[in-house]
Amino acid sequence: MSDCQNLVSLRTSEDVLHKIPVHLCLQMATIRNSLACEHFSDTDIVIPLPYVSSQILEFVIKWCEAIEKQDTELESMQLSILLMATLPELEESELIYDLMKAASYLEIKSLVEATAQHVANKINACNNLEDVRKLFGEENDLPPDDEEEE
Amino acid sequence: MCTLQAEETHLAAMAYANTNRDEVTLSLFDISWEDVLIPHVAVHLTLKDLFNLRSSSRTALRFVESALEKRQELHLSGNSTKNIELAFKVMARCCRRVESLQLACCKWLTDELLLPLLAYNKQLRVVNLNECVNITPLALQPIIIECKELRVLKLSKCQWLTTGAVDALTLHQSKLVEFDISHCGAIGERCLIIFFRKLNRLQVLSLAQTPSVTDQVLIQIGNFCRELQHINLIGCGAISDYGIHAISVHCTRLQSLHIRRCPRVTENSLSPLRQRRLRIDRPQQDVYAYNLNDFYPSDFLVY
Repeated sequence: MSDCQNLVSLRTSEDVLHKIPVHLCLQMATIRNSLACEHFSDTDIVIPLPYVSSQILEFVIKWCEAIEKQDTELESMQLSILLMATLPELEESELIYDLMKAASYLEIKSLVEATAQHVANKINACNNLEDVRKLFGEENDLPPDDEEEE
Repeated sequence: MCTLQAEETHLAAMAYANTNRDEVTLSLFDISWEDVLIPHVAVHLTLKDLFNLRSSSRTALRFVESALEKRQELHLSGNSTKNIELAFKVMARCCRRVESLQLACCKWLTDELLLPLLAYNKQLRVVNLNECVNITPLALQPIIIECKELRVLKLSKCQWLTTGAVDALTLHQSKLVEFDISHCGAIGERCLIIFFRKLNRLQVLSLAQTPSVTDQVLIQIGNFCRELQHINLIGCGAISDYGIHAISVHCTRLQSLHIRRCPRVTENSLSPLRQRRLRIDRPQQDVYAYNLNDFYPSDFLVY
């Protein structure tokens, strides 16, 4: 830990240092396990996050702050609604996948559930194949026989 | 192809793509399939969503088939859409961990379609084949013999159900908690008597419109199915107060009783149950009404 104000130093993939309050970091099982290690608690160590960019880390922190304010445990659909309320810029962005990946890496269960439900909702809203391909930017590379069978 | 191989195939394909860090954009299928996409995204998708996704690209097809491999519940009750048989063949090929199989009113279902799915899924706990009129006891055989964890079996309106199939159930399945053989006219009284001797854990039972259900069958149920909570005997015209009394005395956990169109069951046996606050579908009769056991049963005398 960095100093007596209970901040944790995290270095993102762009080599940028972020100091985050411990109470927010404790929601991230990966960081929590690192902090539990004696080596980290005794020295002024920076925890590297090679798979998380600064932008995504900011999203993660906003999420952790929003979750801390909740009184009860939320279900997947409620988590998804909270996600869009907290990070509305994700709605039209492809950063949702980066966020999902970061949530998995940092082991933030609530954020994994929220992003997963959000993606599932988007798939459910697709009415046909073209909508699905457009959603994921996929090209139709199935052989013609397979596509006819579908 | 198992899930791990499918995911590794996708990663190998990614490795040959443009590796310039600035240009790589993350897509859905770059997220871990085993840790995130299958347990957290695929579980929220309906079968319709999965099949739409499956048809969009090769990668999506591999992903969906990996997700189907791990899917625990298949809910197709009432589904008779255009390509359902083709879709079911895909599910039969891919699914390996199904525990709940809901196929009620799937009139398109045949032994030929169902048997391959059953060959790879022996951990079934819930099987609903209500009104599956085009399958035979042959399809039931692997369920009876192989599915040791089976707890719920629904075979309502399966007129093809034979005494032999129920005898096989008696031998192999004694842990059933819920059982429905309503409207199965081919089952005999004797085989039911023997069958219920084994079902000590039964909690929910439907025997509606089963003509061979007699007071003797109800006595066996009372003696051996002490955990019973809900029983449906609608239209079992052969039963009387005698059989209901046997259940009433021994099944102390009973919560509901469906007894309409059973003209020989009167308030003599129902009153004690009403006092126990059981939910009974027939309203309380006027105490001055005729005792129907004194007359030849007739529907119009009841309601």
